[in-house]
Amino acid sequence: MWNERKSILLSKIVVIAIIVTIPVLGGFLPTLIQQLLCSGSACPIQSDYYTVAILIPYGVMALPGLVLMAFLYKLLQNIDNHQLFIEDNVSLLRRISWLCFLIAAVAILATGLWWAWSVLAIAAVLIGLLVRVIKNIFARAIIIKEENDYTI
Amino acid sequence: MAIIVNIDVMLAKRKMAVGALADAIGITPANLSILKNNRARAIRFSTLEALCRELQCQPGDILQYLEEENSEKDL
Repeated sequence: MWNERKSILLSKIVVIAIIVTIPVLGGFLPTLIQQLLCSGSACPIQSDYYTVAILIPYGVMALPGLVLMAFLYKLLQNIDNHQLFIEDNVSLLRRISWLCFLIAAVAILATGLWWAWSVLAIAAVLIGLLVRVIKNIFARAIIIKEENDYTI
Repeated sequence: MAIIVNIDVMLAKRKMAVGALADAIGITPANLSILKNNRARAIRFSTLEALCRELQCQPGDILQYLEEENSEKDL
């Protein structure tokens, strides 16, 4: 039977999978780019340019991405421990939103190298904003919970 | 805290134990302790009613307003 605990477990597994995927994908990225751009033995001259234009921003964004995932895992762990409306979660959500904005900033800069980074930049800004709104809701919920706990 | 809860005074007057009062009004001793030690943010009318009933007093005997010296108005 599907329940909340299993849902959190699934989320944790997905987060761990992403944490593992980020460096592994980074390792295979040059080969993947070459395979996508080169047909047979013929490689366009720009293939090296695209390798750099994708690899360097990816490398820069990978670190905040990994930290973001670690924060997300910690947040899921707190939820699993029934610690929902606590200051630690607000702090985690705030850090996650700033990391989203950091990734968006790098992606905006990388748009000059490869236009497709703009898609990630827009997505990261939107996710960052969404997380920020959730953070504000959590902060207000803590106050309401405290009021409720201390209403006798 | 501008509002002071004087439950301990009333308990002494009625010679009643904290645990007995908690049992009588149907709240936990921990919550009564929060109320007694002025850590509560609010009090329900139902709780106040039960307190007045068991301590045979008026709300004014339990709650007291004290003007704070460094209130926001003065700043």
